[in-house]
Amino acid sequence: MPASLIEHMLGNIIAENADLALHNHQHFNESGCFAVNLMSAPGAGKTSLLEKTLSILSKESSCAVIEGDMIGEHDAERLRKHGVEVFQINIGTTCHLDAQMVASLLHKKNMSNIDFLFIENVGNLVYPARFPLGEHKRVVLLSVSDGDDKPVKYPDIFKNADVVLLTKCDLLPYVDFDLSLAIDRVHKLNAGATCIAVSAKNGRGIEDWLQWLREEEIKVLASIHKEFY
Amino acid sequence: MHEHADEHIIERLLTDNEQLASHNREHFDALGCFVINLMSAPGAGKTSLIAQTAPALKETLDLTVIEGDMVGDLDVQRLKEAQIKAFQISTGRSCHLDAAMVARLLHSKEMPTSDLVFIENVGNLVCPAEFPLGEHRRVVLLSVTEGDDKPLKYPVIFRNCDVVILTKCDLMPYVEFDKERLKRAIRGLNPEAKLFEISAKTGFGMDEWLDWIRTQCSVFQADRKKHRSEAFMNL
Amino acid sequence: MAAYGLGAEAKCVAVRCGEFRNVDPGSLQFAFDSLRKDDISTQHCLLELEIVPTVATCKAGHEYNPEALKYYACTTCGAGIQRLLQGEELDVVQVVIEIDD
Repeated sequence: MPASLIEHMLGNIIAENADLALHNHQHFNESGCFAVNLMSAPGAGKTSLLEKTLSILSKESSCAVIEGDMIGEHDAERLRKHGVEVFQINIGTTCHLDAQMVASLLHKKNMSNIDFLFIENVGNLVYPARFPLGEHKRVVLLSVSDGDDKPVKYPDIFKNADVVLLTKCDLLPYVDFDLSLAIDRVHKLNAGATCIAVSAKNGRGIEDWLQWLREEEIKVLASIHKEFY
Repeated sequence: MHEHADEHIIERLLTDNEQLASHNREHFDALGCFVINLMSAPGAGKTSLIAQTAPALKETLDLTVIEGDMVGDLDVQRLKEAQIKAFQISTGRSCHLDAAMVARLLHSKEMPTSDLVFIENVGNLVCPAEFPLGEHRRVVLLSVTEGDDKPLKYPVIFRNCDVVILTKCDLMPYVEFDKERLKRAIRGLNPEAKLFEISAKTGFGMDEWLDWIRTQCSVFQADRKKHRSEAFMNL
Repeated sequence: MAAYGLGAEAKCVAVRCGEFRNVDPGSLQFAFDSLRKDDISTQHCLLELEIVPTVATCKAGHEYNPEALKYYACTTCGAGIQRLLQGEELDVVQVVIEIDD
């Protein structure tokens, strides 16, 4: 099959996904639910970061997780013990969540009593960038153990990020990772992206990340309010 | 009127790639190139491993690297700076190399004949598993920083490989990594797979990996000689 | 479809998809539904997806369904997968086309 035909077909699928993502987005707006899409390469620490985030945030606000990168219940239980609902919607071996998966869940679950909804995407740096889910904000995690060249090699996902979290910063003394170079590379692609160095292990940067979440949630709710009234 | 197209014109999807991969394999066999497809998540250390492996093999094996990246040529530049022969395949929008891309390079005659070819695939634990390239061996790298649950989450790639390399072992003291859990998963999924524990940074475990490569290459060359002389005898 | 002439319509494509492939049935359905709209001859075509469960044998010859939570080990003896008997399929098994008489 010629590459041009494959591109055309993929374009159609991506367009359909974008329509459905918009539908999900409106659903989130109507529910007053601030939705965040967490994306990264496999093993960059999404679940650990989520656990750390929820341990604090769930005490202030109601939170829920749509889980696309977990097997079994063990990791889901780690999150549930903070009093959050965890919806596992992908237990297969696909390389990204799509808007259809989220839409199916939204038809079954009411999100109106949820303040913060975290969607943990499949570990992949390519396709999650092309398949928005209806989120308000896109978060990309890059582990310092994975190399500072990732923004250059996988530009699309970094171009569309609202915030880039440089995770596992407790490993900085032991790895060859140039933090300012990595941030520079992100900003060359996406001048508006907020970059925060974090460690779920020692707590570095976590309060900055939480503050970003709180502020963005307020901004999003304010703009929804403006739209409706 | 309804027409039913039945079993005899059914298509096994992705057979085009498999056929082209077989063709590539014949090509590599004829050239005497032993080919290893290196796959992993982004950042597991494929390029670093190649950069440490090449100088150690220099005396005995001629090495060429086929480098697959979606964007840019950072890895090729890095290898060339280390005096390693490397050729870039830009996969564009594709998140994995496929047999057609490798075939184009082979047919372009840009690539010299080598004893050993490493194909460094795009960093992705999903799609490369579905697209053989014509390699003789498939090697999957997993960094200790990624977590010990990856074979359970990405079973297809770990099932369909010959070797698993646990990389960045120098970071083991600073991360939570259950090696026994990893070994248990590999034993269940792919009991025949060899497991190497390596640190390209400190050199830990490199000898076993290098010995494995040398053995694989000499068995390949010996088999090749045997087949050629058998073919000659049959004339 | 062009080979069948104007007015020919694809009614149904049946695909057998093994569990042990990197294919998500929901995503496949979504992609199919998006692509069939591209042409008048395929716009009403249905996708019939048959999911084939994974069945493996271990070295001792026991057949079992390997599961991630059990580390893919044989449920009888704990040994690993020697061979997959099924679960790796990705086949088009039937295509139904309606031709104008």
